[in-house]
Amino acid sequence: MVADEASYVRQVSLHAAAVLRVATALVGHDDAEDAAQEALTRAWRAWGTLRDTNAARSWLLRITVNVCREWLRGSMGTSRRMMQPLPDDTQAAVLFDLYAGTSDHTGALDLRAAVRDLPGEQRLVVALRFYGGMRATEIAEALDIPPATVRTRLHRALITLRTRLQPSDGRLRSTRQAEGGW
Amino acid sequence: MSQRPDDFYTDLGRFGASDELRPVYERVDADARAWSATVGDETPLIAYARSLSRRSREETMRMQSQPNHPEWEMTQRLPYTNPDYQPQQRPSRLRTWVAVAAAALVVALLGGSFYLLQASRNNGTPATPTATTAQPTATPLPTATATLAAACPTISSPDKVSSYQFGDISLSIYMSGVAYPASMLPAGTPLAPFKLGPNTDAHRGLPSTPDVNPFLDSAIFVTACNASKTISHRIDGLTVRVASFVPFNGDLNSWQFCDEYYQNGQVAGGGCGGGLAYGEKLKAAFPANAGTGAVVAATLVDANTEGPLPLTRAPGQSIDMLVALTPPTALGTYRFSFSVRVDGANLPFALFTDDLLLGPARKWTGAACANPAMQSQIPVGSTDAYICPES
Repeated sequence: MVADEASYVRQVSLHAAAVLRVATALVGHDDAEDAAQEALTRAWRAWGTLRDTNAARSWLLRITVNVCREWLRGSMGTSRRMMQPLPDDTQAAVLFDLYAGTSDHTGALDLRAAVRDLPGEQRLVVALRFYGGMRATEIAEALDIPPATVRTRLHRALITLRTRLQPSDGRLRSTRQAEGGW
Repeated sequence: MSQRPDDFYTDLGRFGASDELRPVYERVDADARAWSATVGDETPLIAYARSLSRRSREETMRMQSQPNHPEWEMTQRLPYTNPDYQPQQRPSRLRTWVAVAAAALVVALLGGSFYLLQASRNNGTPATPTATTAQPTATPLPTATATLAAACPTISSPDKVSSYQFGDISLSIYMSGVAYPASMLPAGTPLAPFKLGPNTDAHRGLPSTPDVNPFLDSAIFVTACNASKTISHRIDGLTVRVASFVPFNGDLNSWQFCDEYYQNGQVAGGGCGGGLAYGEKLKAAFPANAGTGAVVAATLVDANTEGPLPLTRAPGQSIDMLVALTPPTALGTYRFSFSVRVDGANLPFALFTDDLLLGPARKWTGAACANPAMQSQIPVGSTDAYICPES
């Protein structure tokens, strides 16, 4: 048991950025802080059940994913969106403004629309892996599915995205050309 | 900076990682990294966690998990309204500070006109440098100042920021969030499993300074901001100097937390990655035998979203220059200084005050503990985390 306050604060300090990023990827910018706070509250309540602080990151992210999924189902919070890692909300518009008038803008919009159109399971894995920054093993743990299933869903999602983003000349533009070189 | 090269294979598995999927994988990855710059600051969350830990568990149990409930508003929406909230020192090496810095840059770029109204400076003429770093420096530089001009954004970094003001130009030099420097093991450490300290920070009880062999391709940012209220300036480029060098005697042993550790019979930890938002990427390659005082001009590697240097910066605008360093090869502690060329003139060299311990080192990793010779030295049933020498 690691139920002391100091260890909780230390672990949250280490992993708060990941928690917030995952929450943002799943519920959008507007609700992310609220969802992340809820996740930390739950984590605090259950802190005594965590046996090994080395597992704290995965544990916190799993709680965060669960909170966000509840959020998205509308069972809590002020969720207005379905799972949209690339929300068409104000924050996204700010990001898009950075590329206004460039091919990058168009490329980003195309990609994000394609991600949003993925089947739910695939969209969730893509959101958690890329936008949430979680590792495949963490995703598997959070979703309670085998890591191989995560890889399979990711593989299928990429095949779908590749098909949908295929330009008319048959070649996928390079990352730098398409996205502005982040 | 891209994620580690093998992420593609790790994510998709041996049979799923076909070459035809790599472009779309990289494209989504790049877009996600760009998107990550919009994620908020986690500092309020940490403050919230602190406030929770100060409450009784019974009190937190009574909290309602309904954001629209008044009690929730009072008790859970703490960070922005509760006096408990105070900005905390961030844990070191959190990669997402890059996103914060990028957001600050966006604000500066998009809101330059707003900042103009607040600018306290209107000296548009090239001036004798009047200010220098807020950190102690080892080389003589102009008089220190505590703050940058109002027109320029404050750089938020988990590490030290070396800040300077040269006439209208504010310079900030700092380590990126994906530099991932290693830690030095104690001198004389035997080549046997080394037990790490508790998991209270990424260094696990090893010293956090000096920064040992950071990923110098993506380690150092130089941000130049035009703090003038009225005059635009042209940023032409920069040169880099070896400001100091102290040789390291003996063998250097280091562990990078990206290289994981060995615990409970398996390799664990790691988790490096992340992306960078930069305006320009430049490369400064020193000759292998360069010593103190050596100077090289940085060359442009990648004009990212900004277009290539030279770039004119309007009042309040800044440019983030990621400087990829190829250091001299001698093992030792280096400091580097940077001189930005503005409007055709070189500004004084500004010192980056981080000590960088660079050179050949023996790597310690978690995977190396899987070597039977190492495993036999780890106590049976131990739950401690170990690292082992690769050679």
